[in-house]
This record gives sequence, C-alpha cells and structure tokens, in this order.
Amino acid sequence: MNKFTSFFCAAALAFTIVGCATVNTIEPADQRTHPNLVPDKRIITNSHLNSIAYASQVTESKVGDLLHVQVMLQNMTVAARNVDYRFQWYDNVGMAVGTPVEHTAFLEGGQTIPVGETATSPAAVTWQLTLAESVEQTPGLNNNPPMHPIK
Amino acid sequence: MNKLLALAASLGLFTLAGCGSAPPSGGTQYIDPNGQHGIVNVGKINYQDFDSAASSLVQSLINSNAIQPKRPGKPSLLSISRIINETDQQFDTDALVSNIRIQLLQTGKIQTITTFGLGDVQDPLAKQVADKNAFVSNSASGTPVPDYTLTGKILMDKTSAGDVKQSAYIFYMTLTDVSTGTGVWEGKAPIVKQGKQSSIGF
Repeated sequence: MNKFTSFFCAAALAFTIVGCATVNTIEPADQRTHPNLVPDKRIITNSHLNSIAYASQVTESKVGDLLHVQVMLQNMTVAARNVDYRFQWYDNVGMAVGTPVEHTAFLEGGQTIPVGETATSPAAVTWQLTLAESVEQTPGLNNNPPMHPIK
Repeated sequence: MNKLLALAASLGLFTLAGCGSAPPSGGTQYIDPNGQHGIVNVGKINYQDFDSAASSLVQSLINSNAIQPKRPGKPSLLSISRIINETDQQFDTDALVSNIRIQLLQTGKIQTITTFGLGDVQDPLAKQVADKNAFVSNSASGTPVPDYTLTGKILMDKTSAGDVKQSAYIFYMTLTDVSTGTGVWEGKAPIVKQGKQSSIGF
C-alpha cells in the first residue's frame, strides 16, 4: 500500500466517522424584513466552536416592555453539531437579572438557525450569549469543555 | 525515540487533564446548576430538563402577548390548575410549575394566587388570614379570583433502534382566560434524548 492509498483510506475513514449532513436553503430573494441589527462584541476563545456556531446576525426587538434578542447561528462546517447556549440578562447598572437557562441548538452542516430569548424582566436592558459545543454526556462525569462568551 | 515518548506522554497528560474541570474521582463536587455539567439520563427527566421546558414555555407565552392586563396598572392574576403527569416517572409537577411561576412573576405581567386552587392551596395560612379578614370586614370573600388559569400535561414516548434508546418528554401547557373560558395560549416544549445507556431507564 503506497502513501497515497494510505492517506486516501485515512481521509475516507475520517469522513465516514465525522459524517456529512449539510442542508440546502431557499428563501425569498427580495428583502422583506427590516431587522434592528445590533453591533456586537465577541470574545472568541474556541475557533472550532466559532466555525460550527458562527453568530452571523444579531437583532433586537421589544415584546411589550421586554427586550427580545435573536442571534442567527451559522454552522460553517459540513458536519451536524449540537451547541449549548444561554442568555444572561443585565439591568442598566450592569447587575445580572434572573437566572440563565441552558438550551441546546441542533445545527446541520451549513445550516443557519435563529436562537433567541425574551427577557423575563423589564429591568433587563442588555444581555450576554454564551456558547459551548455539546459533547456526549457520560453519567457521573462532567466531561464538557468550558463555555465561551460573546458579549 | 525520546521525542516521540515525550510527545506521547504530553498527549496522554492532555487527554487525562482535558480542557474543562476535572471529573470527580470518587469524591463529590458542586456544579453549576444552570450549566452543562449536570448528569443526563436518557430514560429520565433530569433537573435541567424541567428548567429548559419551563423556560421554553414561558418564552412562548411572553412572545404570544396572550396575557393582557385586566386592571389598569396592575398585573393579571393567575391560578395553577391541574397539571397531569402521564409519564412513567414519579415527580412533583411543581418542578415544572414553580419555574414557570418564578419567571412569569419577574415579568411584572402576572401575579400568582397562593390562596386559591385545586385541592390544597399553596399557602393555607394566608388563606385563613384572608378569610378571617373578610369575615371581620363583612366582605364577600378574602380570596381573589384569577384572571387566568394555567393547566398542562406531560407526555412521554420511548422507543429504541438496536442499542440506541430514545426518550421524548413533551410538556403541554394551556392558558385560559377565565372571563371568556377560552384558551388564549397553548405551548409545547419537547425534550428528546438519545443514548446507549441500557442500564438506565428502559
């Protein structure tokens, strides 16, 4: 077996293990929405995570007197991945409001999905989204990597 | 060869240490109750599942704008009706409902009535005081009447394919406007888990 064959077999095996589950997306070509885009500040400590859940758009709106945020997460790889996320809300003096709840988003390869949350208190004026790649859970072990914030 | 050994040793050390905090090795440690370090079982509703389901339902309810103020400047009054557990597990439905109550109260749109409900009221002492005050002041009743009631059901579906097990827990909730007797919001929060731990659950 020459080097080329070995490399090809290894690549094929790796591709089989990782899998490939990309999606095709269709949407209207004309711009029908007018989102309130929000500039964001990012702290990226995990570039791999940033490629499987890239925040491509951040928008805000109001539900009555409650602030609502929506972040478009884009999986820029070909593999399906789960990503854990949570929103922490803050009031106008920077104090945390409420208790964040963790959710899991499922992203197929190449898929873009919205994740969002409405503040449960009118006092909440800003937020912080924290993302982490989900890993398979083994009962009894806290085997997940630390979460990485985007603020 | 020495370099190879050093690399292998480093790799082994890195694998053992991992990126996150070290797993418990027979001991016990505190974890973030809202984080991703909690134990997850495929055949069981875990603590974080109640949190996630309650949060999803509250988000749906808030975003629907179904809760409208019944009295100007005052929050609407909510009573918890029947919550039916149709799963094969024994748990207090307050694990779900209390999470919903806490989050709804924070919005300022809702206050829950603790002296009115099906069966035992949440706060019997407060009801006694309210009833006594009503008797002394010769008013009709010390118990406020709810504007909305919340009812729900928790369903379960388990299946497997080969050695892969799947559990689906579906949390349904309905908000009823008491003045019209109609459901003004319905929400669903499914929690679906897959795993191969055959020793757990099934």
